[in-house]
Amino acid sequence: MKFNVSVVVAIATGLITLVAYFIPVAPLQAVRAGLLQSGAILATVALLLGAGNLLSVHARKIRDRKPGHLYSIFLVISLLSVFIVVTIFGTQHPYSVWIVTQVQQPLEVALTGLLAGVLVIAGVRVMFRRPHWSTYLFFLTVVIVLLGTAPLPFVAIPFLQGFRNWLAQVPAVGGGRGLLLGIALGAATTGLRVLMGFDQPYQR
Amino acid sequence: MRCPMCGKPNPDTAEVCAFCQARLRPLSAAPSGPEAPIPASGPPEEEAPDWLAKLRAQGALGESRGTRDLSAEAEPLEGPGEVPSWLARIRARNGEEEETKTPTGPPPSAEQVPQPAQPETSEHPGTEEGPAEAEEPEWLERLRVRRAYEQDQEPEKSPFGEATSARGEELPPDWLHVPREEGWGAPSLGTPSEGPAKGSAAPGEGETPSPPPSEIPPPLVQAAPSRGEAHVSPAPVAGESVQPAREPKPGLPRLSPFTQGSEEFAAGGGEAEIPDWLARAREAAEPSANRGEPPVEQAGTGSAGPGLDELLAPGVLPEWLTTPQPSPTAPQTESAPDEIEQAVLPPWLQALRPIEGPAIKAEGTEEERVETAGPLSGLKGILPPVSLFEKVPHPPVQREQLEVDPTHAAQAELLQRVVLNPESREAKRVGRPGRRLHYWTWGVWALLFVAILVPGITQSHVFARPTTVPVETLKLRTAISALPDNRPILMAFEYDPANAAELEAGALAVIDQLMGRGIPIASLSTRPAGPAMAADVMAREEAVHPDYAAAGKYLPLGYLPGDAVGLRAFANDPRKASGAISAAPVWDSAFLQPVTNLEGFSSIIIVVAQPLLFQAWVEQVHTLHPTVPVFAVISAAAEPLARPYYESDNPSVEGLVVGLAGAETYDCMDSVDPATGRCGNVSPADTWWDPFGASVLAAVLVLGVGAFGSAGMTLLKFWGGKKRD
Amino acid sequence: MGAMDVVLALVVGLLLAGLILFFTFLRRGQWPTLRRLPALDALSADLGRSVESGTRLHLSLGDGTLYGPEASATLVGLAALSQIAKAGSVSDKPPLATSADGAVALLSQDVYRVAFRHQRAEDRYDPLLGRIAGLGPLGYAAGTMHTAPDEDVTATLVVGPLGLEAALVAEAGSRRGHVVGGTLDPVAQALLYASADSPLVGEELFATGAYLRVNRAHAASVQAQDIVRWIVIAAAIAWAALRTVGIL
Repeated sequence: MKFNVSVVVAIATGLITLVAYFIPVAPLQAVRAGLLQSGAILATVALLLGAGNLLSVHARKIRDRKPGHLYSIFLVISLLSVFIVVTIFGTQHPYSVWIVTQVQQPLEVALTGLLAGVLVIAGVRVMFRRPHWSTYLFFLTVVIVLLGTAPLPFVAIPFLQGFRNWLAQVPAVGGGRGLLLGIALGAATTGLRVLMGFDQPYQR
Repeated sequence: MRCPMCGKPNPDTAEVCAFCQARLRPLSAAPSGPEAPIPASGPPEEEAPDWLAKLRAQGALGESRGTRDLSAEAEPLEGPGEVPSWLARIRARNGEEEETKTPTGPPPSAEQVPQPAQPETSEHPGTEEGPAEAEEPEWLERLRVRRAYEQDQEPEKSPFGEATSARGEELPPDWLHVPREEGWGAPSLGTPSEGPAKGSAAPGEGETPSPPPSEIPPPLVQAAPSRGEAHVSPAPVAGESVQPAREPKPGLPRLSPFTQGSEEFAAGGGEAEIPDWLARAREAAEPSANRGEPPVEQAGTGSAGPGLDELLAPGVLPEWLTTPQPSPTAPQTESAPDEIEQAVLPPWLQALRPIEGPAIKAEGTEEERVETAGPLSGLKGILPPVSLFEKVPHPPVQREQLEVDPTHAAQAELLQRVVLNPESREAKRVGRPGRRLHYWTWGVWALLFVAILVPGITQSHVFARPTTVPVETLKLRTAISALPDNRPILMAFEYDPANAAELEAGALAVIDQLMGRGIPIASLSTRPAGPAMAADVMAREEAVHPDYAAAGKYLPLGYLPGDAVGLRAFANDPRKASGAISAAPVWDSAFLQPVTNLEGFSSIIIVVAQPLLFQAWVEQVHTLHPTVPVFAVISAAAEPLARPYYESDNPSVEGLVVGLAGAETYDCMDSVDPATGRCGNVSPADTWWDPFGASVLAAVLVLGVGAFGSAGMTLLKFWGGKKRD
Repeated sequence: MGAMDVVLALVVGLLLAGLILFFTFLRRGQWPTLRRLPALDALSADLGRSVESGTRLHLSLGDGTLYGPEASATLVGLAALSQIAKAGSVSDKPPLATSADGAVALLSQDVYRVAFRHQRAEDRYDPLLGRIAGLGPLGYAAGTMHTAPDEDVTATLVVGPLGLEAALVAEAGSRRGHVVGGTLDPVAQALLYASADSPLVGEELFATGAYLRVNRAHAASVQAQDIVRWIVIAAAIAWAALRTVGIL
């Protein structure tokens, strides 16, 4: 565990934010508000940095003529054009809205549709790859929830929807709460490691 | 002082190394004149050392051809009648050691070229033999140094007593002593055409055959063996075969034949082995001895040989020794192949031997130059690196000697074709192929595609609409009906375009009710595409409610960066958190002016697909303002994790619309056609209901077939294993 | 947030911190015995195989940020990257780390830099080993679907916050080689259970650092989590029993 300025700043910032959460002291709250505001601004900068990193990755791909560099050319062109349009006209302008609703939305919806098919195929594959009782139980749960959620043509199975609701609201919620508890504990320990200086993702 | 070549210690006054004969000190004067080929018979007269010249002068009829002036301190040539001082010293020493049994014979050549790297030294008289002292020749000095070193290292024990150790001027050279019986180091010069030496045994494996006795090889004196060995070769008897010399030890000088001045070797030069020229000289002297000349002393007899004076007497030495010889030819190893008897190499050595082509003659190596700088200064025959690497051609491959396997030949030809063929030069990227889709996956895709397309195109209504309304959905609708219409609500569009298909149905249904009541809506999003999604949804509903659009009740607050951090900052001070980010000054509008914190909003409706984001809104915003009711339009996938917030004792969420079914229920709550039982409100949820149902059924069908197939295969394996057992 | 909630949160937080410190310093010489996780065993094998075969290992850090609720998973991914980068820095093709956030990409580049410096291979450091595959969840998924074939990836490790797009990432990786996956979202965990070869279920993701031996504090965290988890289980059972009986 090495201490330097970065570690001190990280630990101090985390402790102030955490303590101010529990102790409603005005000066502490003011400092915390300033830190939160700075964090929000840094998040915006990180967004720009991400776009810059993406550009540099694909620019190198184009320069080195690696396989798929044609797609990189399209990506760079589209990124720059959208950036210019939204910067000039603003996020609420019909041009910006058109780009999102007529270009980005259909693409992402298509990928989500692809996801549906991928999941069905993966479900079949896992039954052949891991023919275990847990896998068959997994399959049974999936079928019951699907049939209970979606409508059925021409017929109606009365108990199915009730069983599905029970599955979704009792075992699934219970299991979900247990997962959330474990995840919360894990998140807490991860945060505490950063606050105590054991984890230093910023510098080693 | 350490020798730069071999690293062995030498006295500080030494000019050359006693072991490897490398020059320890650079030459003070460059050799005069251009490099000229050294004649095999010896250096030209003008370059011959003074003692050689004297010897020649003695042999010649008073003819003086001058001496080779090697240094500024060259000994002046003395008249023919005078005895040179060195000779006097030799004679004096000889007189003191008369009882010492020394072999007699023509002394070796006086040309001692200190060049251990050179194969032949007869052509290279010691141009580097700049005598350090005016009176003593260089070879003598060298020998003295070596003796001194050897005596320092270990006492030299010679079988011949002290006379074998050359101590300065008094001691005769070793080669003049009685040779030992085991052999002597004559060079391996012989006549390959002739058979093995008469009387000698056939050479064993690894041994070199002995030269024939019929022809005396050119007089080359092998250098002495390594230090510590007082190896004196026995003098051959006339008629006996001359055993070929062992390979000279590296670093030891080869003594070129000298024509005159054997006293010098008696004084201190010479090595342990009797040179073959001496043996030959003895043999030549034997007939003369039969004519009355003193006989050649036999090896090991112990009898004293003829004295040096007798050797030097006119008529004793053969003419070739006393008369200047014409320039020698090329080095022995190359000039007299007929005389050299081919060595028999052992099989293992032959296997290592490379396939040799014709001899390579490197250009520029005919004239041997003398190195003038560096540790090799003074040495001759140093290979010039530049010329050698630049000009030496590769030996031709003797194809007839290659053993090429047919497979190898084919591969070589293929390689040649690949290299020469320009089309094959482009290296194809060897990519690892991914796993290919099986045929059954194409069938799954086709089935899903058909299940979605057919109901969508035909606008069928075969799938039953939901008849029961979930309690959480009813609570949301009831709560919105009770909201005041003068206070805005905050609507968070926390979904990406990918989830728009599922969530927009519920969002549109809720917004439709809000616009119908005229409640102002302020939109906010922590997703980058959220503001655009919100604008699109609001625009579609405003098209249905034109009065709402005209009143300007839609208040876009834009994008809120920072996820949970931004939400907490917004919950603390919404104006400060979003005011700087939103493009339009919506906070100054009439509907938002009274709003100073989140308490100013009548409720918060979160349209979210990810359960963690829903959690962040509840934990960061609602915990700070618990009096503001929170409602949610969530995806079916997030319901299990969002429902605990609704079902707890102090629920954080007061109403839910879950997925497409919840949106359809919400839409049709107040608009079911009693005659047909169908929803009277044609909403996106109603449009997508049948394709949704058909695709779900198709997925269930595929999964069912896969499950039964997998179970069947597992059972078959199990039964098959049982049968085998 | 009521006073009770604040007290409870403080108690749990201090308990966790104390246990972490205890196991880190006072039990320094002992590395805890952790139950076998086949997914993380497979990770070690995948890394060695990729180094030997001259291919890459792809570490997916997810589309989360450092300031959202999924930041803990991102930090776990960065810790795993530090060990993987050290082990793979000697390879011809070092592991590749993709993310969807600029700050996470910067941190991953820093992790690589330190790893290469640690291995005395700074001349081989390439900052673009830590890169952004795409912005947004599905943009990221679309980018990683190209990463596997273009970068000669034969093993994919998903350690980070991912949503439904985890299935696309895992599917793209499974067509090239082995996939080890773990995330926070329970829905994504279900998807990874079906599409990954070795899924990490529940909070097994947070044990990645301990299994990869990042530092002693990671192992101490696993031990602390286990202890507090049993306390919570006991408290939940006791509370339920008392309420059932009618005491509470």
